[in-house]
Amino acid sequence: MELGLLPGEVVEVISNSLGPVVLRVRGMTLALGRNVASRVWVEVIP
Amino acid sequence: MSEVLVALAGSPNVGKSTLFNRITGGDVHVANWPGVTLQRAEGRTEHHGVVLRIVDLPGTYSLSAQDIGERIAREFIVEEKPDVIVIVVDATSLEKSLYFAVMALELYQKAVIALNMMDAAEKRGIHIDIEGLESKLGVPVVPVSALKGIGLGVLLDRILDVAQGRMRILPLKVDYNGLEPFIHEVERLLRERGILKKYPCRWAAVRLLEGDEVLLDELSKEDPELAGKVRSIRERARIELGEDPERIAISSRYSLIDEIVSSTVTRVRLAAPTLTEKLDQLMLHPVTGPISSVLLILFTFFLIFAVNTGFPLNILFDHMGYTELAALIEEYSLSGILGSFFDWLSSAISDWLTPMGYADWLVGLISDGIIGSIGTLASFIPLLLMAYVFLGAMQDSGLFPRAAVSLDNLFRRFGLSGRAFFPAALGMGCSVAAVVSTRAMDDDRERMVTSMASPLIPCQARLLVLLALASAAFTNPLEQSALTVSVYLLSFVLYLLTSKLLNKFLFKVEYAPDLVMELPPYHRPSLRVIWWYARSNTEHFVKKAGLLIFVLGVVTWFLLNFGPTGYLSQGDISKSYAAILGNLLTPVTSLIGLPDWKYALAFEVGFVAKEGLLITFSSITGAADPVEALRSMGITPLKAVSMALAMNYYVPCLATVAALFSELRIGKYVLLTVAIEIALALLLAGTAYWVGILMGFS
Repeated sequence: MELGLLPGEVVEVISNSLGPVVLRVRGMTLALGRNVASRVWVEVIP
Repeated sequence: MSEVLVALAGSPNVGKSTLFNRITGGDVHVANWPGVTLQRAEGRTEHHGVVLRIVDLPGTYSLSAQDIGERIAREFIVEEKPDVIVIVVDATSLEKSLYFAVMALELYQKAVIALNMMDAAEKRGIHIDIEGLESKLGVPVVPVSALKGIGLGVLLDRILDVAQGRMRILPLKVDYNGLEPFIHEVERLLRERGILKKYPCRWAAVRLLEGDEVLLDELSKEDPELAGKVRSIRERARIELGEDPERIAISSRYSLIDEIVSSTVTRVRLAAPTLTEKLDQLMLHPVTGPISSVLLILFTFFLIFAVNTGFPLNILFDHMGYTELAALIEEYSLSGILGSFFDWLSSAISDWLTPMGYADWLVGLISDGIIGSIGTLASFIPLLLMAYVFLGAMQDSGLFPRAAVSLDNLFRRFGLSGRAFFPAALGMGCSVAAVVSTRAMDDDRERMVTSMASPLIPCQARLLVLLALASAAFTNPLEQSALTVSVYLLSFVLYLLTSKLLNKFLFKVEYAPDLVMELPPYHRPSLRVIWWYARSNTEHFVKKAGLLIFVLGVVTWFLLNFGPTGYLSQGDISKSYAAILGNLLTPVTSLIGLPDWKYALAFEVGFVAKEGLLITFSSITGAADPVEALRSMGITPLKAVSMALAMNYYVPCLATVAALFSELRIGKYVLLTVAIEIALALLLAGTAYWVGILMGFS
């Protein structure tokens, strides 16, 4: 959470294939292992 | 002269280390933080007649004491009460790096903000209102570029202003919305009892409500009853607000940051899709990502090998018929230059001492034993320096972190994360570097596993031995490279398998640590940063392992040059203690098809440094070229294969053992690492040899 993944934050998914999920949030690129990533709840916004 | 204590703090990747090196100008003392293997760097500088003692705190995203780095940084600030903390933030991504600044300012107000990478921000069309930021944060803000050395004088001025109380500082107050009444309640309780006095009261109250374990423990010890009350207030807050207090607190800090950023930062949009996006499409793609990562590593090592040893250019040119050019490249490679320098020095000293009537053995000891050992140590320095320079460049440019992400999927199967890629890559340069690099890992188990497994990866010294074996026993270049490549492939497989087994049987954990990693933006690597990185790591190695290598080098010289008959002036190595020891070891080497004591002796010497194997073959046979030496010992293809496998795994070299010991700090694990390697060497070389015999080779 303290990395800036907060409720209401807009996250851009850069890569979501076999390995870790790569996100862009608050101007930072973040790689999250699938385990951690699966605990992040998101909704798709256009 | 008066002295000021300055702590340098900030998140990772904001250029904190660069700033630290810039300010201290290399006058740095490196040690570990007490009880952990995190590096603690301290430096000094002088400004307007005041000595500034600067301590580089671990780079962390917050100060919530959730990991070792955060706890160390926080304890240092609270216990040592530095005269000033310099909080480094990244001007190109204020949203991110201000979080740490807000956390730090809530805890400690004697601070200066260093707004780093200001030049890069301006280039990207980001403009920041400095005065606006100062009034919002309540402390001086100084725009700097650590990389280019801009704004450092002003930064030092402000540091002294704050330290000497010439600056008015306003406390930063975060509005915690619904949490406020609860904060007041806890604050009042803490004040009444006069407890946790070393922390600012409001800060402690917020942290307690957030569920700060370290702080709650401290409170429970001092006043268990109050701790219980605080816990129940926290529960009440959770129920009344319908949300986790920690989440409210973090959101509140971020909304303050959003407000600050929106009122002080103006962005001019850059239209074209940036290079970052294009590169990310390549590097993070499921297929092209791993491929380009592997190619990147191969390319990096091609460069390192070429500069250090001339390989593979020397061999390439040799086969194309340019023998002279090949020899020239080899001679003027770094290790070639150093080697001939120490040869020259050794014979010069011997020529100078002999006519002066000193005993033969003394001349030998000085010119051969001592100078030779220094030469061994010196030969490591370019290997390490080059490995660090190129890998530092890859790391700094942002390419290697992407490679770690794209290889994560592969490493997971072996109970490792993508981070395990760094020691494996560094190991091709030097196992010592690989072992030392594991200290950057977050997960303690992964750190230990990778440092124990990484010496299996063939380093540059072993590459030299491997190449000599391949060219001595095989004439066809295709067969030569087949042997070399298969040893490398086997080593990577063993690295992964050993890690898996260590995870399973030693640490009894099978899942891989989850990767959470920030990917810094791509940028052209800065030569200065790379140089600092390479220099400090190499110095670290020389200081830690230098003496050990020197002493054991001299001991080995004694074993080789003294025998039951005394000093062996004619260099008759077969009568030496080392040869006797070698004879004792032949039953073991017979298992892998090398019954000659010369091989056993070479293995002994190779422990000091693996290239010592080649030196031994040369000095036993009297042939300067190790390839010739091996041929005159009657090496066959089968023996070469067995030798190649045994040589690669039989034991990590002396310097690596020293590094393992300083990183693991558990003697048992170091011994286990050595035992695993010996077992692997005997098993693999033995199997290869006896299968070969059955198939009719000799």
